[in-house]
Amino acid sequence: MPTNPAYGFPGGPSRPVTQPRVGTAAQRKAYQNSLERVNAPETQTYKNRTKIINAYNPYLVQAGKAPLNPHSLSYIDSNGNYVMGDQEKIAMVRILSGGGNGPTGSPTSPGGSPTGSRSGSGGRSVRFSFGGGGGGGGGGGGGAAAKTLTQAQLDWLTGLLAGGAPGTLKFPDYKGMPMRPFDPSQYDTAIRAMTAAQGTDLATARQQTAAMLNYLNTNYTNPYASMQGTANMANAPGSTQLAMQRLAADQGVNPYIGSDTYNQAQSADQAFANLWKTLGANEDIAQRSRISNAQLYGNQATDAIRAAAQAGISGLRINRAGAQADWQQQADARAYQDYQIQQQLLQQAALQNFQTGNDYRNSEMQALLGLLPQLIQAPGLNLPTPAQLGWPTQPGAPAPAAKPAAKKPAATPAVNNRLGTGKVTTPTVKANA
Amino acid sequence: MPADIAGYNVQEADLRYRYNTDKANNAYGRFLSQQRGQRTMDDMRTDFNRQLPDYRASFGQRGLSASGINSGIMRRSMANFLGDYTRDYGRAQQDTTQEAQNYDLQSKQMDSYLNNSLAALEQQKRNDIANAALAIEALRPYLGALGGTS
Repeated sequence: MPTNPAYGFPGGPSRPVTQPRVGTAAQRKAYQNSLERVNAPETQTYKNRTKIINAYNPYLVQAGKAPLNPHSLSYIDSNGNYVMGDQEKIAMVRILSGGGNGPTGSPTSPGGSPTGSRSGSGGRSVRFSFGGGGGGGGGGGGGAAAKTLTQAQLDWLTGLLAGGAPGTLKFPDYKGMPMRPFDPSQYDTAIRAMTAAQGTDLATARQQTAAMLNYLNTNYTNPYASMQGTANMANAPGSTQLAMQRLAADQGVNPYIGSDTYNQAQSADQAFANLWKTLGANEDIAQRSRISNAQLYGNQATDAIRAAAQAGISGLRINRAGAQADWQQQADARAYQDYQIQQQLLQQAALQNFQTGNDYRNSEMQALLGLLPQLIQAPGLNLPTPAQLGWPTQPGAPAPAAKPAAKKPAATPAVNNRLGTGKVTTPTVKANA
Repeated sequence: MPADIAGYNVQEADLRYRYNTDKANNAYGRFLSQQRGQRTMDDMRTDFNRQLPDYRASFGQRGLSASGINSGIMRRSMANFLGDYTRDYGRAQQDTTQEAQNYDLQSKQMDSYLNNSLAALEQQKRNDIANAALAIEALRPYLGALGGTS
């Protein structure tokens, strides 16, 4: 059997073809019908699949393309039969299910021309072949019939897939580093110390004022308070005034001849006494002034100490408020950072869960799609539903707990329709029946 | 930061020392003044007593004074003589007294100066202590452990 290196699988065209006319007219008609069905409005949701089919169709494959997976392609075998690949088979199953009736095509014998027929609501018939060598329930092709998948195996596989579904990733609870609470004890201690120190300093000032007043009151003596002991004419040295009068009288002279001088001396004594009193009064005034000054300065000192204490305490309180504001700012920043980290972890976990589930479901899908050829040959099998596989009912929704596959197949189980929108009902495939 | 009051004690001692010396000088000056005045008056009296007999005798020689005779000229002359003496003696006494009063006044002024100086010194000392307490209070927020006691 010649092998075209451009396609890499047996049965392919031996030369590049652009529009080969291969197969019978009926086959080409069937294929044309299939394409029309694909392009029909009710199958618009399968456009992508149709494109795949068209792209993989060997009739449209251009020369020089890389070898393709023969299991995904349709090709013409060495006997000139048109053989559907797996991808196209899937698509065709979808397409054929659109009419609501199951395919009624009958497999042909190996090497025979596809004579399968389908009667749908549209009255159109499709004739195709699902491979010459396959078809366990088919028309008994040549050679030994291949073993087909049993329901038990499918259930086992379903359970395996459902049971092997990845669990949900859940990060350990985020525990941010706790921030030490604001500690104002230093400030409070300082304020208390300031208050106590204020009392000490006030006591010092008051003590000094009291001591000053006590000193002034106990040590003051007006030096001009008394003229006792001071000199005056009455106790002047020498002869007394009376002796002088006697002398004058003894000499026959008026005894009061020296009275003028004596009177002048007494006037001088009085002037001196007046000066004395003035000075004494000034001393008393000075003393009262000193006492007043002492009291006034004592009050000023205590007021100034109170003011200084209040200034100090106010400064400490302002500093404490500033420190608390700084702490709160850092606490807020820390809280926001924790919030961001938590959000990032949650998003990371969600994304990871989504990707993991998606990857697993893709692998499940691939595994199930890989079974399609056998499913087609064993049409009585009940395919697992999405719920049985533990798939989410909606994209992004959390996956439900996987349910084991039903041991007893339903009468008309639905084929996994996750490839579509859900509107399409898939009939039981009875290929080669 | 306690207040240093040692300086005030030194100043007080200086004041008292000066006061004592000045008072001693004043008392000594008063004593000398009194002594000087006393001597002057004693001399005046001695001279008067010496001159008085001769002065009276001169009136007798001129027939202006004898037993039962007392002329007006003599009386007027004796009045002038004694009047001058008593005037001069009284003025000497007054001068001596006023000098002593001056010394007494200076002594009391020294007492007053000492009292005022000591009071001012004491007030400065007390104010300095209160100011130290005030300064400490103002500096407490900047001192380690808020300072001790003032």
